[in-house]
Amino acid sequence: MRRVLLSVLLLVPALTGSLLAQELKLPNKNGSVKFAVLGDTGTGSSDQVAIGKQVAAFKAKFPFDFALLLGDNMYGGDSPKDYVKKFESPYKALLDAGVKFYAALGNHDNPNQRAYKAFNMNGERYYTFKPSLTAGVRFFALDSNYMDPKQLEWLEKELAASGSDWKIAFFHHPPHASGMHGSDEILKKQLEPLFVKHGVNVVFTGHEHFYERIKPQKGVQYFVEGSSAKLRKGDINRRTGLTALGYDSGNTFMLVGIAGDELYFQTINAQAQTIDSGVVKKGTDNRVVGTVVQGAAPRPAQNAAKPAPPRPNPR
Amino acid sequence: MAELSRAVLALFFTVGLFGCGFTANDQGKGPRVPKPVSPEQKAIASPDNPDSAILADFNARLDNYVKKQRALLKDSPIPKDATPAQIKSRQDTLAAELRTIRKNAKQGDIFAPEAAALFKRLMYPEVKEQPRETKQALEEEDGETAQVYLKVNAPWPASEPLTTVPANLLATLPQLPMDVEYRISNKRHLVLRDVDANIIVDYIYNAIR
Repeated sequence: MRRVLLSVLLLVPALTGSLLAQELKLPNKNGSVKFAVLGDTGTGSSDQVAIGKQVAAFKAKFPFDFALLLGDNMYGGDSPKDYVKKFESPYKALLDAGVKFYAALGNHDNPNQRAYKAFNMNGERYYTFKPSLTAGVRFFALDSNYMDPKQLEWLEKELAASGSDWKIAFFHHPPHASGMHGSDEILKKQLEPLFVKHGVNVVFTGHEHFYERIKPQKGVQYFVEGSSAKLRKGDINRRTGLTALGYDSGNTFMLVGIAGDELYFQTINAQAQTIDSGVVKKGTDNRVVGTVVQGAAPRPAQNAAKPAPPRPNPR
Repeated sequence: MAELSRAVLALFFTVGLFGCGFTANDQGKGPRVPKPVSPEQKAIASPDNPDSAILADFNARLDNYVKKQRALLKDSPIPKDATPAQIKSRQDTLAAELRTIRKNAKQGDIFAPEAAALFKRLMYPEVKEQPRETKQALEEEDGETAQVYLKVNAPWPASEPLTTVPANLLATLPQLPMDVEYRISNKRHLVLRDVDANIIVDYIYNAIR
């Protein structure tokens, strides 16, 4: 009897903790543009499957219509079997629910993926799309592996022609990051002037196998989300001074909602813990004026094997 | 077609310049002061560019390859909403057909020795000026490097990453049609890769010093 009582006493907080961990912190406003962000996914590993399950579980609370893939969608081979193992199977629940994926190419991706129907690249290595005709949000998917002058010209033209209030770029290599690769200085030199000139507000990248929210740079909010299947533990170098919040001890994905001048984000790990959440606010000139963090103290998962809490940058 | 026109135009200028012996001095306006040339301009065949003939020759060789590749693709274009099986089948079929029609292809067919020397010369200032950044851009996962055994008509192995080509280097090299791309293997060899067939078209050893 004592044993049963003890088990119940131990189980209740564990279950409560687990339920609390799955808390949605996004406002879920009607008419908002909702999407998920995943990076460096294509391993086919149990870590990818675990994150895929969490993304699907959160979709029930936060009904997003599409997801961004930030590159390295297919590590190693890319035979038809690989497409199943490294994409179609881990995200089956999402695909079955009609979630559209928009992919960018990473350094491990065969550019022929651009013809794959489920990646919605329409045969192009770089492309732009608007998820809704009325929401004032436009996305720009770039091929950061191969930033030739032709692509830069295209980007400048498309950015100049876009009247959208929210211009969101996504690609693989981060212009700002604090990991083993670090900030891609050459890419930064090429892209950042265009972002600033044409009012790109938010940039999502992968490549580094962790999550990092960068302090806003020249009116642009950068996120690194490269740990949706891969993970490089302890890789964030906090001395770069770039990190607003970094998490390099577990796999993660992001949920994002845009309503008016606010972009809400929530970063979640495989145990459904919220790692980071907040709102990116932009001014009337469409530049990011700041990112406010919601009081999201991490809750340790009761049933996880020593989950490590997020490590905010001390600076 | 556009590439062909460019090459013909460049050749026309080159022949015109050398054939007629035309120089600025012939106009009797004193010694010619060269205009500053940007890295991008150095990679374009134009009357102002002393490497015009080499670039025009490279463009002509490349156009010849691309025309063959496009002719093969014409009858079986890949749909924009393909299945993985269609993508793989198209890639493999195209690679096999290219190997058949280019069975005697060898290193240097497109990167002729003069072009190879020019490409090294075009990239060198960028590598020298930004050695750390260039090296960083060529870094792969956990210090790994794309190790590819280079052979014309061989596939780029699925196991190897498609190394990022630093944007500063891409800006210095001649622009390519969408059918082919530059890649770098072993951090130093420049590879011309067929995007649709995933095969090595040609390469320059030790292009990055």
